Amino acid sequence: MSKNLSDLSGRKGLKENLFKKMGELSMIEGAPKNMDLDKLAKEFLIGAANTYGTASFYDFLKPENKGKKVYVCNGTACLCAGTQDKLIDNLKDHFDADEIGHMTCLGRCHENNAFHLNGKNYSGTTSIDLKAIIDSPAEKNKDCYHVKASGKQILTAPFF
Amino acid sequence: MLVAGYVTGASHGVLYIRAEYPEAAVICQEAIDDLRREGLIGEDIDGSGFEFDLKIIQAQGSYICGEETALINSIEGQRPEVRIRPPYPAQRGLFNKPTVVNNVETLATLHFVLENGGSAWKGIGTERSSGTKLVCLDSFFQ
Repeated sequence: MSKNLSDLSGRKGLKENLFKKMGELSMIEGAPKNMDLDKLAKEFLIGAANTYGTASFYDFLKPENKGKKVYVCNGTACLCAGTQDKLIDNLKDHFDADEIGHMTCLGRCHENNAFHLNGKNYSGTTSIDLKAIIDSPAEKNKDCYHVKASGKQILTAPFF
Repeated sequence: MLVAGYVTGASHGVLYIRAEYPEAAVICQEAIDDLRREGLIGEDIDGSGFEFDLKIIQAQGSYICGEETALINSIEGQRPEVRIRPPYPAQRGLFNKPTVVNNVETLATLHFVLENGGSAWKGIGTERSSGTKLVCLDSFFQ
């Protein structure tokens, strides 16, 4: 975008990364506070318009993200499968409508019914027992799948 | 990435991981911690004088960040808008420094190529599109 902004950001480089700091500021409420964006702008010697402009671009930094607790996948595969409307209805039994947001593609295209809660992704039949997922502590929830080839393994061949 | 850094004289590697894949960030951070514990990243690696470090940057939800120049802008804290090229990232990239950007799909092919050779890789696929390609098939079947 701007060569000058690249240089100004590069003064602190990766050690104290501007983008990472914006992400950290959004963790409490779902979006960074305006006064925090002002402070960041001063710290990096850039304009407040730059930090505000960056924050407004991202799904998880923009003000509309405040208060969201669960995110439903709105990627092409899940939408094509037609599972997400029912999933949102099920989630409304446990969350208010404005606590439900969207994430674009959680990578569970083969199973659909995908959603994200507390740092974990879920899909397929897991979403049937929502109460169990919501009530258990995050570290107890394990929903993962294994990627493998149906024929000769190339990208997934083990290398140890 | 470590080898690429050694060959090109780079000292930083960034893993830009989507917010939608939080488990991937956890797994990658564990791998980075393992490398650090083994003394394979950091300053003066194995007394060689070469320094290299890896950092994970967690994305914040924007599909366009899959484009390499938008990704670079994103890491800098700018709006992730696509840059005009030239100059290309290898000439002027992250913080205006020469930068190599690779997709994880490309890096995943390295093991096969190192073990079986470039000809074996070229032997897969078509003449103009060698190797493998990941595609996602979507359809609405009735």
